Amino acid sequence: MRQRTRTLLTIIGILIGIAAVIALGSISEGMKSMMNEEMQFLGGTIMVTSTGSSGILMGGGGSEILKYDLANFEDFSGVKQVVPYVMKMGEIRIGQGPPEEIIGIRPDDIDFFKSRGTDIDSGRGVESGDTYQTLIGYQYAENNDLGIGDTIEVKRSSFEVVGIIEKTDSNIDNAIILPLDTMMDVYNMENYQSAFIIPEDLSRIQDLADNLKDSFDDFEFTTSNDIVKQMSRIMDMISIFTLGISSIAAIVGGLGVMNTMIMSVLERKREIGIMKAVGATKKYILTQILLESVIISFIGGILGLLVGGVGSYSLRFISSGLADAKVTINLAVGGLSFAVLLGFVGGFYPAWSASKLDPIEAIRFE
Amino acid sequence: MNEIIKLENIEKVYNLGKHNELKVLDDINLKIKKGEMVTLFGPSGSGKSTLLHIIGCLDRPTKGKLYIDGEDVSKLSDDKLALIRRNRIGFIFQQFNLINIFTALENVEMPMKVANINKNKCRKRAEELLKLVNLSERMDHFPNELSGGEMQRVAIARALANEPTVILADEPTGNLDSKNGKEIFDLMCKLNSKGYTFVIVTHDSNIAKCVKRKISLKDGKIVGGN
Repeated sequence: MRQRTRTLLTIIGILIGIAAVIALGSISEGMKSMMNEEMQFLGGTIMVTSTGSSGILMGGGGSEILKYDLANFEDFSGVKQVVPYVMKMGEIRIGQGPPEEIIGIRPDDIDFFKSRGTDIDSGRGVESGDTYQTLIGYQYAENNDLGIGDTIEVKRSSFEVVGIIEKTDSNIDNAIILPLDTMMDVYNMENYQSAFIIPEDLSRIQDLADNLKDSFDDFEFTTSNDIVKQMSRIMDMISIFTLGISSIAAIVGGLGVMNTMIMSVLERKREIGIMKAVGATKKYILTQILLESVIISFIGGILGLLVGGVGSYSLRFISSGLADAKVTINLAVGGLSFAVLLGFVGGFYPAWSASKLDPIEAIRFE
Repeated sequence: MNEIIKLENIEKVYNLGKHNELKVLDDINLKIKKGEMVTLFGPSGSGKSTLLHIIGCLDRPTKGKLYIDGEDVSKLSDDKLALIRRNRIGFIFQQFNLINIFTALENVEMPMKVANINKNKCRKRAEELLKLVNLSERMDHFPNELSGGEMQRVAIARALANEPTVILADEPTGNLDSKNGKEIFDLMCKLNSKGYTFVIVTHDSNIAKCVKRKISLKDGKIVGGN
């Protein structure tokens, strides 16, 4: 009975360790894939924000670009197109997940967004001349039970839904796209928030960004390469952090296995001695004890995988998709292998010392 | 008759070369033939248990040679010795030394499992052996549910599991009352008559007087009955 309790506690120890590995790892994987989506979107563009704003990675809050500046960018040599936009967050409603993003773009620029993986699922895109028409994200449509021809209200103005964007698994799923001028009107905005600059020659994107920086002191120009660098630095930090925390948890679990197996070998010293006396070889004893230890850890690992998986799913559920967590096959296999490795390493010393027991002495032991 | 065990100038010294050096066995020469029943007796400290451990390959002699079935085993590695114990030696101990978490049947199966014999074969043979020692009714009982005499019969069945060359018994009746002791001794005699070879360390005069070949030890030397 005492032995059973101890084994159960050991399994729980491994369970917690592996669940931590899986849950934290899945968050890290989820963030990676989210960032990859963003990267795909930003590829080949230069992001403009005004100096002193919160920067691209934080959504460019507080950034302002005057219409006059925009014209200057458009005239700059090497610039093919400038795509300005404004963005606002919708009202926070408790229990309905994250608020929607309201994005204003020029209807003429819709092709720029389409070419970056935001295709129309049904209806049409916004078109030249549209004013109180809107394009909405897949998730937003579903959550609010909206279809083509329905109307939504933004800032006490009604907009007709003309199209729904296909599912992208990014924040666009929960967005409302409005014609830029109408949105600036409704929100009483004077200036653009930020803009994408598309170079004429993609291979010279870095030169263009440098030239722009030299010419306009009041703005920051960030290429997708810069963002990749920043993001991968952040990703590395997150990975190291999550790996560190979860490894500590798992190693503590492994020490639990070792402790349990040492106790169990001590308790069974006489049994092991008898087995050796009747002819069990060192290898036989070693294999038996190691097998036991690995099985305990494997069970803990499987349970940890389940608990970690449920944890990572609930995180996605609670945050309504804002925080993404992905349990990949690699992560699951890695977590289980780690559990087995812990069982093996934790069980090796006790197994080895058991295999070396002197049968005469062990039998005398009461 | 052929010799299955031969000891040549066996010597056992504990703490060799240290100030507390202790010579337990001194120049032991002994031959045991197939089908014999031999008792080793002598006062405590005479070295009879050590001699039994050496014959049983649980311990190594400091000097001299031990042959089992004609093979010199005195210099073999631990694992080779384990295989000799597994395949050629059966042990019966004073303390029975059954595994408490195993049933009678599982205790008898254990040496065969250690030898990687297949499950069904193990079970079948263990059942036969328990029948042979009159414990068919007690197969699924754990050691703490058995009497001393019954436990020793399980131990005898276990000793026979891998068809050993010789069965070594260390005070097999030492923990039993005289009635149970006699039953165990009668069982060993019955097995001896079926051809099993026994070497028994004992104080029990009832056993000693019934066995033809008696070897007396004193201070690590054979002093009589060679």
